[in-house]
Amino acid sequence: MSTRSLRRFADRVALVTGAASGIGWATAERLAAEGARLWLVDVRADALRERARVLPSARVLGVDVTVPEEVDAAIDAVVRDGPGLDVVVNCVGATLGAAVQDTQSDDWERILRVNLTGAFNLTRAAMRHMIVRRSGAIVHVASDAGLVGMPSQAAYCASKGGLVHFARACALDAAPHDVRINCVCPCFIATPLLDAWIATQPDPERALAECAAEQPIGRIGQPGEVAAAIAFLASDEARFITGIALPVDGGVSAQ
Amino acid sequence: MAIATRLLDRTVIVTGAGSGIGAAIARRMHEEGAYVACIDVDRERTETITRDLGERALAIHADVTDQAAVMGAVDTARNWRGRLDVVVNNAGIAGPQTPAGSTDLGEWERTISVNLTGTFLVSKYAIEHLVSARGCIVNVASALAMIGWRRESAYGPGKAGVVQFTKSMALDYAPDVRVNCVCPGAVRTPMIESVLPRDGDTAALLREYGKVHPLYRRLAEPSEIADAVLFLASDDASLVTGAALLVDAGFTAG
Repeated sequence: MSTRSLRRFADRVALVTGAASGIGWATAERLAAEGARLWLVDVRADALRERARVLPSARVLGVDVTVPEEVDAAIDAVVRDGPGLDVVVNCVGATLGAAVQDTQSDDWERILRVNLTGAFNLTRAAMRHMIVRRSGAIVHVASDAGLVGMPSQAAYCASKGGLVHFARACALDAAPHDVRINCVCPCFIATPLLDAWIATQPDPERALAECAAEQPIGRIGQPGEVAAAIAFLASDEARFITGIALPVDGGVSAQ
Repeated sequence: MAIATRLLDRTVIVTGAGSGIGAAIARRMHEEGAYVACIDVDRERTETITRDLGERALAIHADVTDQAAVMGAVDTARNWRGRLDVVVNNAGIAGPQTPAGSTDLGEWERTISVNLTGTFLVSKYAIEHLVSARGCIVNVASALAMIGWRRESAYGPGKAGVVQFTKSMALDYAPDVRVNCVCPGAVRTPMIESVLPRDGDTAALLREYGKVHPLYRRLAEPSEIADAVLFLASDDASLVTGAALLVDAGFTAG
């Protein structure tokens, strides 16, 4: 089997947030391989610039998605450059390992601001342009934690569950304008975000083994596997799909 | 134009391949390089689709509710090329358009039998081959598995059963075999035309039916469902199992 000949994004303009690492970077690589004209966004502009050297045609912007003015300016820059904005993939995410009774208010607010308000800022800005052209697809990276409850993940679950439901509501607003909005819901994926969470555990090695064992497929997912599902939802092959939360989770949410 | 090879040399079974969504799935998988065993209860339609596909296609006439016939059909498909990589359980019927009180037991049983038991039987006899090939199953359920709908008292429950069967099998056979389903909205097929009032203007009724979809406000084309089935059957879905993929243009999002 080969996906090397796929060119579903030839001449399409795609913007990826959280692009410096993990699922965001894997998505950038996948869309680039399929011919997209890429705009890559991350709050860590230097790290992104460094990494994006291997994608010389990609444009790089340092943007904090929690600041609406920065997001609006980034989307305006893409649209000014032309010819339009076809695909937005939102891969920004923050985690917090804390039971609700141990969750600090400022941590709660930070998780919701990054995972949910950031998605709102981005969707609003992108939609305003996409509806004018009556075309476009937005894919948010939510999580299994947006579909099922998980211990010590109260703020994260709330933010991702909110994101799944936000995307459904947005899909209905976008539908009359032929714009599609969907989510993917990954399980544990080998990303810096997972590494950071694992590092907070009392026995990190054991925690990682337990993460793999918890998933019916018995392993941690790879960022490229999530990127492949994102690419499908962002492509015309998913033209009849909107308002969904696709589990990309090795069976976790089926149980 | 890019050469499509996402299912290159895979051996695929598609049930209900003679018409509608099944025919579109068979064509789409064939385009991607698969060897397609087309199973249908209608002998003529099975042979027509297989002839249309040309090379890399095999016609198998079988009723998915007949245990002996399913065993034979799966064997034939498997022996064709010595392996079986993908099974698409698509065979289905619309069933009675009546509330429970006026639904005939025979019609209820027939609907559950084709839509749910047929999926079970084909999966039951194919699974050991799929384990060997580390292959996958894609079932065709329905958006009506997720929500209630008037006068679908047999079809909805049967399709909801397909979703649950999908999840159970996904857990039992992980990580060897991925098992997923698609849940289409209303699709332009002979099946949907069969449930329209006989005396109406078919084109107008189909246009009206399409308005259930917030996106585009039209019926889905069978090829639009086939594209989603192709994704689930391909290596691009390597991390997807136990999923019910809605292909319903936002129908159940609201």
